[in-house]
Amino acid sequence: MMGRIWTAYLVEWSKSLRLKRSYLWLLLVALAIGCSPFLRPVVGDSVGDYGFIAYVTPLAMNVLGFFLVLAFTAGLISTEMASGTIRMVLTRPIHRWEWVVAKLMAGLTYALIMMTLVSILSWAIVWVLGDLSGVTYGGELLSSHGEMVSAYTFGFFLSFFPIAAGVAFALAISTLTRSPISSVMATVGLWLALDFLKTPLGIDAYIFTTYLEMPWQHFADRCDGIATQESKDILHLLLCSGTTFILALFVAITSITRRDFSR
Amino acid sequence: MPPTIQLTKLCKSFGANHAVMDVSLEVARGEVLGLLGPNGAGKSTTLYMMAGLVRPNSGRITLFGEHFQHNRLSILKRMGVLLERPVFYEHLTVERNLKIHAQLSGVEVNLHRTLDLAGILPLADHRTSTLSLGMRQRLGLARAMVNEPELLLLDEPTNGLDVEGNHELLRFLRRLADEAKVTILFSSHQMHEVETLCDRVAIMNEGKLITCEQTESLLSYDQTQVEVLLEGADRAAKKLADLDWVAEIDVRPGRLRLRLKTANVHQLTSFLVNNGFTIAGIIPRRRTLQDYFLKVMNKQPEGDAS
Repeated sequence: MMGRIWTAYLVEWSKSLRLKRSYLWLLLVALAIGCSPFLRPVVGDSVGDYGFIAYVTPLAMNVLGFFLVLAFTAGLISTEMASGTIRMVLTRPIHRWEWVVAKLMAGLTYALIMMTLVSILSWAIVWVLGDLSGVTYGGELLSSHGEMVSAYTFGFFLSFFPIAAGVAFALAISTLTRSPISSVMATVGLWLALDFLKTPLGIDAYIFTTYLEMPWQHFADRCDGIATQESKDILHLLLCSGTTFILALFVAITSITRRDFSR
Repeated sequence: MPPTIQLTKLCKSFGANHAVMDVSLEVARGEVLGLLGPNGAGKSTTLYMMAGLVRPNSGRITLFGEHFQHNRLSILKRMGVLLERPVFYEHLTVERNLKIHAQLSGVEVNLHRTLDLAGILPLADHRTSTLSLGMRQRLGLARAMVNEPELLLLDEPTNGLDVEGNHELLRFLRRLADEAKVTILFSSHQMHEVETLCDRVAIMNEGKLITCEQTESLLSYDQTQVEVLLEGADRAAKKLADLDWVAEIDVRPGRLRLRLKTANVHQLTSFLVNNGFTIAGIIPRRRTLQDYFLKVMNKQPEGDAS
């Protein structure tokens, strides 16, 4: 079983690596980060420069990066349904659910690449233009550079959960429509609708997008010299993202396994 | 040895449309079965169900003696499928498309050899989006055979092939069945292809299997239709026109094409000789599959035949 999923995943990647848009979208995010010093200058002051990272990473990842990851994943299955290649794949000795899991893994990998790119570039800009000697106030070292890297790594790790939920959500939408454009529009549209409505409806604690920003808050607080750790929030993030992930994957698998693929 | 294909009371409906109704069929190992029928007859749906793309509402599909639903993966490993209008990952090359299929099939094969067999080795590095219809069909066939299947499901495989390619493919498939004992289910609209290739012919209409016969028995000589080579064909036609056992006469220079109401060639010969005609030869007409197909379809209730 694992062998088949792994093979399907490698096949998925070999296809994605030959798509120009996979690179173009990464380039777009890289350009956005490259331009970010014009929005918030890197001043060569360690507090402000860590603050630059705390500003750029969530902005690039949670807005543009997240949008592109959703768009990438939303096209994974709908494109195959639109072109008919799904029929070729499903006549091969692989269970339908295994193929959906392979697609999910491809989406998660793309998200991870996007997150890594955003992180490397944000840190690289400050490394070249700014000061990374730790957070000091009035000559007192509040957080060393190592502690800041740890806080960032923790934020990176936590932020993967709501993003993974988003990937599963996009994949589920992708199985419900045969048109890649409709799939991308429906995914992004639902994401935006949820984001606008969740607070008025009082359901923001249950919507995974609420937790996109939260993992970076700890790092941003450290930049301001505050050491916080809200384990209750982290638990909510894990529960909400995990539930969304499982539900969305269930929808995607059910949709594909119950469908007939005639002409 | 169990039959390679065993369909039992297979049914499939799409809403109110009964695409396949109570189809039961057996195909032995190494046999080539032609599936004929007008558009919408249920041929493709039957193939799609056997390929695991469409779930039957009822009935049972047994392939290689195993229940398809319960042993899907082990059966698919032994199968090759070419559906009508094969589709590919258009942004990838011919070789990469084939490689993906081989990987998903869990086999390691010499891709160049497979491409060579399909006659598209020179196109290995071309993107599939640049291929002509005929070349796409060849790649589709290469893909269906990449795992050296024991059962091939082919839905109009010669679609888009030129005359030479068509002839080559039919010969190749026949060799596969005869030498490698590959079982082939071959759906086509081209009667002459089915006639040339298939051991048996099944005809479907409106979701039902109407008949399934040995091709050879369908193509036997028809003693009621004869061609008579003689001098004075015009005169002979006039004399024959008055006879009640002659149904149709078609006069050609130096010959007559006749349809007799009863198969009595001896009576015809005696009549012509007694009337002073010299017969150079009598050729009974061989039935074609098309004749049989049209005859079977006309037996259907009004409006069924197409």
